[in-house]
Parts: sequence; structure tokens; C-alpha cells
Amino acid sequence: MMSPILDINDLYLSFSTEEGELEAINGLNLEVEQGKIHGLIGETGCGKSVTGRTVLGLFDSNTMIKGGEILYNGDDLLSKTQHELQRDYRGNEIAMIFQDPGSSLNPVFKIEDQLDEVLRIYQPGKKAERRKKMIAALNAVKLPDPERLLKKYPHQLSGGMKQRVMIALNLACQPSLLIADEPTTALDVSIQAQFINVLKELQKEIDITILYITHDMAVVSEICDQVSVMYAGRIVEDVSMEDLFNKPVHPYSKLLVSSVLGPETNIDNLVEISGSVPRLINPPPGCRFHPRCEHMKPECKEEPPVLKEVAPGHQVACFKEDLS
Amino acid sequence: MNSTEVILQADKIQKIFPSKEGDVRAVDGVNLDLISGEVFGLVGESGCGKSTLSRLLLRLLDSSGGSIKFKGEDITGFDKKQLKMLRRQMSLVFQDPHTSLNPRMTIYDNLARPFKVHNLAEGREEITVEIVRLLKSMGLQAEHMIRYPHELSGGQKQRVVVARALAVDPEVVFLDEPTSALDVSVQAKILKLLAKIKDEKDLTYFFISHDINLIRVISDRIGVMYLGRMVEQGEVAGMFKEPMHPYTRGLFSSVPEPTPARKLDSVLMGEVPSPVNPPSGCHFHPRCPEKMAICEQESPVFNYRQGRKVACHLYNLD
Ligand SMILES: Nc1ncnc2c1ncn2[C@@H]1O[C@H](COP(=O)(O)OP(=O)(O)OP(=O)(O)O)[C@@H](O)[C@H]1O
Ligand SMILES: Nc1ncnc2c1ncn2[C@@H]1O[C@H](COP(=O)(O)OP(=O)(O)O)[C@@H](O)[C@H]1O
Ligand code: SF4
Ligand code: SF4
Ligand SMILES: [Mg+2]
Ligand SMILES: [Mg+2]
Repeated sequence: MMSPILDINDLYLSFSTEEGELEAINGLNLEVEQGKIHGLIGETGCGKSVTGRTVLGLFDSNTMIKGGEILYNGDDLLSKTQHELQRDYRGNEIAMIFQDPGSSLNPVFKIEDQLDEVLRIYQPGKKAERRKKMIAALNAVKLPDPERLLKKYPHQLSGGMKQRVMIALNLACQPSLLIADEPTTALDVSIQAQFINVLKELQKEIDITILYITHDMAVVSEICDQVSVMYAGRIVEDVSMEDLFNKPVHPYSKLLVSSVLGPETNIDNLVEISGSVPRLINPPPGCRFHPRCEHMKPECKEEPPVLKEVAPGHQVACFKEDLS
Repeated sequence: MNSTEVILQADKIQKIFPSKEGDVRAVDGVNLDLISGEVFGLVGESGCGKSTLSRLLLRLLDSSGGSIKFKGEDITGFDKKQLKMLRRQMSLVFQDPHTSLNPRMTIYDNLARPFKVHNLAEGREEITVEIVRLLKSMGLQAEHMIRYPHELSGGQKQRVVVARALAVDPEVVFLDEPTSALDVSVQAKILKLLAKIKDEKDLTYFFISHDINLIRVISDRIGVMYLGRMVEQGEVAGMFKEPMHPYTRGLFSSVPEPTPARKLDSVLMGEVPSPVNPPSGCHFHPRCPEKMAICEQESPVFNYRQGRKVACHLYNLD
């Protein structure tokens, strides 16, 4: 098997808060294969964004890394200094798109200056060369009339265009891994659909690997190859997109899949999920899902279950007997 | 739907906001019949005028033209006193639960306001009884009364917001993106609850959402708005089976289906243009794959076609 581009092993991360230690990431294992669009899903507060930011070493000041490793092409990113991360990884190897496109662009600079600022770090020298790259990046995300667009300020662009400029900004340095954190949550369905199509084409054209963080199952079915289901700081199932929808195994994955609003859903057969993600200060012991699980048995409260292979490319962390 | 009695009716309603760049035609001559007991779902891209339309219908905003009737009575010229009565008959649940409650007041004080303003209950004791009843009907407990909004989860907060809208015992409730800030798990609970309360109290809902899959689940009829105008309106099943207006078709085909086998193919291209100086004729023509010569010159009329109302020249050529 090919070695994964990103390989997170037994990651533990906490935040120190006034009320005590908040155990946000608790034994996380995640492998992202080269060239795939890999989904990371789960309800709010499951730790998806923290996971994404941690890969890039973007830590809030109250962060405590408690253990584990984050291998990027075999190198442990957790052992790098901020300076090394900035110089060798951020932007040129790994890039990240955040939820709110507006806030990531600086309102007082023209698009051209913002793109150039990013490019200059990796490609000092002739501006004309960098300009060609900018145009190529804007073309890649299907923005019309890139020459004119370079002269504009962020407020002169619509939400959808800003989002695409953000991707262009991220692609300008040709990263190998793109982390997209709920990139379409604030957008209209039309803009979301255009964005999804741009990403899909990009992935074919330039062989980029994408870690796609979302809570929207319809989007997952649209673009992901493989999916990791996250619950309260751990991956509970790692499965191909088709199998996630057709035969989810973990009780939490089953809940998520059953909550999807499809063409056949109506108000009477709409599935209500009971409970919610627990607080991560003094979280439930053992399997953190046990207070919501109908298959819970005594051992579930003792040790957290580890990911086990149930079929090729399909792993599940659960003590249930019949894992199918 | 229990009857076909029209409870709220808008006739060529219009709202123009003056701005530095020119007039913003946020709502540009909308006709609408809201039928008693139905759930009417309103969709359209951001900025198409959905929230403005609902605020006009609620008379929270003065219109620039057209008229509105509630139960047959013209409410367009209602004065302050009459509006106060109207606030008991129609109420609103806002887009964002995190900002629509006063963070410095307890849940009790947040909920007590409508009772006091409308003299629906007197004295702390009577109001408390009413609030406990409301909280219970929303699946919350009496003890939530003494909490502050930040102590509640998003889903709990949204239940309080709905409870407040129901305090006045209204007949029509406007819900503007009531679940968009919530997780799927919480969303399903709120939707079920809304459906249950609607049946118990015989309410009419005007429901706005960006989530077209959700609108499909909860609505009896839907309306599609584009750049200040209603472009299509009809029964939900028929609309999804066979959307007629090119905008409706594009919008619906841009919605990803949560099934692995179905992928997006022809999606709606471009973006909503500015409502200052909107495109001539049919506002949708710059994005329309079926545009004809007439479309740039004449605005299509909103007409009945096959049990549906559509504003498009494609259906006026027979
Ligand atoms: N007070 C105002 N002054 C000027 N323009 C306004 C005002 N309120 C709304 N608008 C404009 O009117 C148009 C319709 O806005 P509205 O909020 O009704 O859209 P919407 O369909 O509810 O959008 P969304 O889906 O984003 O909530 C927009 O172009 C908006 O910018
Ligand atoms: N700086 C921080 N201090 C304390 N808690 C935090 C901090 N950042 C995130 N958290 C907590 O970590 C958990 C995971 O958050 P997040 O990764 O944002 O979830 P998701 O992206 O899955 O919605 C949540 O309980 C969140 O409140
Ligand atoms: S480990 Fe136990 S509690 Fe956790 S999901 Fe499996 S059966 Fe349920
Ligand atoms: S009127 Fe013309 S431009 Fe407008 S939707 Fe119909 S065909 Fe398209
Ligand atoms: Mg997040
Ligand atoms: Mg709105």
C-alpha cells in the first residue's frame, strides 16, 4: 500500500480552561492517502477544526499537546518549530481554507498585492513571473477576467468570488495538501455547487490531496473518496464514502447517516437523534459515545475502543460484537 | 392543510431602500396568498429579498408600494395601536438564536416581555405559570427560567426563541432560518417540535431557509424568489418533481443529494447581481440558459400555469 501523505498517530491535545482541562483530542488516529479527497465529519464540537489547525501548528495559547505524532510524508510536524513550519510547510506544502472567506482577506489591499505577498516568500525575484502564476491560479479556480480581478479590493467581490480567491491564494504556491474547514457553510447552494465543481476538477488536474472538514453529509456524498467520522476527539470510523452511506458500522455513523434529509424524508419519518456531544471537561469514560449508545455494555465504560479493520479500507472503533 | 382560507395576502408589495449607489429594490412587486394552516417555504439565494419580504408582511417595515391584507382586512395603513394588536396575531423567529435573546437577562425576563407588553398575564406568579407552561411545551424545564442565554446550548436557546414567538398565541409565525445555526441532530428535534405545535395550535408557518432539502421536508407549498420578485410558486411535491422556472431548475439542481450515486451535473452559474439597477426585463436573463430576445425587454408576468404560478416568458408563448 502507498504510504499516506498525512498520518496522525495517537494524538492527545487539551486546552486549559478556567473550569479545568478540556480534552479536545483524545487518541486520534487519521491517515489521509495521497491524491484523495478525505472527509472529516461529526457534529459541532467534535474537534474537527482543532484537528485541522493542529496539523498546521496553529495553536491557541492555552493548548497542551499531550502526546502523539503528526507525520507529513514521514516527518513529524509536532517536532518542528514554528519557524520551520512557516518556512517549510505552511503555504507551499500544506494550505488551509477557513469557513469565513471575508475575514481571511485583508480589506485594505488589492487582490494582486495579497497574492503577491504569499508568492514572494517562495519565489522572490521577478514580479512578472509571479504575476503569471497568479493569473494561472485565478484561472484554475474559474474566475473570469483575472487581469481585472487582480486590481480589485475584497469588498468589491461577492462571497463566492472571495472564496475562490482564497483557494487561488492557497493554490498559488502549489501545496500538496489542502485542508478545507467548512469552506461552503456560509455560501449559497449555487456558489457551493460551483465551488465543489472547481475543487473536483482541481483535484483531477493538479493531483492535490484535500482534507475536507464538514458537517454536511450531502457535500460528503458529493466529493469525498474516503471519510473519517469523528466523535468527541476520536475517529470512530474510517470508511469509503459509498460504504459510509450504504453500510455504516459504528452506532454514531449510523446516527449521522440516518439524520440526512433525502428526497424521501418527511416530517413524520424524520429521524430525531437523541443526546448531544458531551462536554470535554470530564468527558464520559471509556467510549465517549456510550451515554448516547443503544448498544452500550459494561466494558464500554472502561476503556476506549481502538480502531480495528472490519474490511479492507474500513476501520471501526467499537466493542459491539457484530461489526457490520 | 385544513382549508383554503387565505389568511395573509400581499398585492404588488414593494420595498425600495435608498442608498448611495442608488435605489435598492429589495422587494419588487410581490403577490402572495398565505393559506391558513399551511407551511409556506420561501427559498432563493442570499440577498433576493426573503427577509425583507417577511418583515413587510409582518408590518415591521413600511412598504414603498402595494398592499397587505390580514384576514381580509387591509393592514397597510395600520397605526401604532392597531399594529400592537397585529403583533399578537403574527410573530417572528429570527435567523440567529445566538443574537436574538438578550444576553443580560435571564430566560424568565426574556420570556416575560411579551406577556407584559400585551398584558397577557399579570404579576410575577401568573407570568411564571405561563412561562413554565411554554417551556414545558418546548421540551424545556422550569429550572431553565433562572438561567442566562449563554448557559444554554444552541438548540435550547432556539427553543426559547420559538417559545417567545408563541407567547402571544399567534396565528401566523414567520421563521427566518430558524435552524441554520444548529447541528443536524438538534435541527431534527426543533423541526418535529415545530410541526407538533403547529398541529396543536392550528398555526400557519412562513418558513425561510437556505437549506432546500429542509424546505422540501417541512413545506406544503413553496415560493422561489429572485432579485426581489417571486418567480415560481406551487405545491411542494410538484415543484420538486418538475420545477418550471429556469431559476428554480438551476437552484434545485445545485443542491447536492445525500446519496453516493447522484452527483451534481448542471449547476446554476454566475451570481445574483446587485439589486441596484437590476437587469432589464426578466431579472434572471443574464444567468438563464434559455434566454430569448423578449426576455431582455419585457418583465414576464406571474401567471397560473398547470396549477403553478410562474413568471417566465417560456410559458407565455402559447
Ligand atoms: N436597510 C437596508 N438598507 C439597504 N438595503 C437593504 C436593507 N435591508 C436589506 N437590504 C438589501 O435588500 C436586499 C434583500 O435583502 P434581504 O435581507 O431581504 O435578503 P435575504 O433574501 O433575506 O438574504 P439572506 O438569504 O442572505 O438572508 C439585499 O440586497 C440587501 O442588501
Ligand atoms: N482555545 C480553546 N480553548 C478551550 N477550548 C477550545 C479551544 N478551541 C477549541 N476548544 C474546544 O475544543 C472542542 C473541539 O472544537 P472544534 O475543533 O472547534 O470542533 P468542531 O470543529 O468539530 O466543531 C470544543 O469543545 C471546543 O469548545
Ligand atoms: S463502544 Fe460501546 S458505547 Fe461505544 S459505540 Fe460501541 S457499543 Fe456503543
Ligand atoms: S423569462 Fe426568459 S430569461 Fe427569464 S427565466 Fe424565462 S426564459 Fe429565462
Ligand atoms: Mg469547526
Ligand atoms: Mg435573510
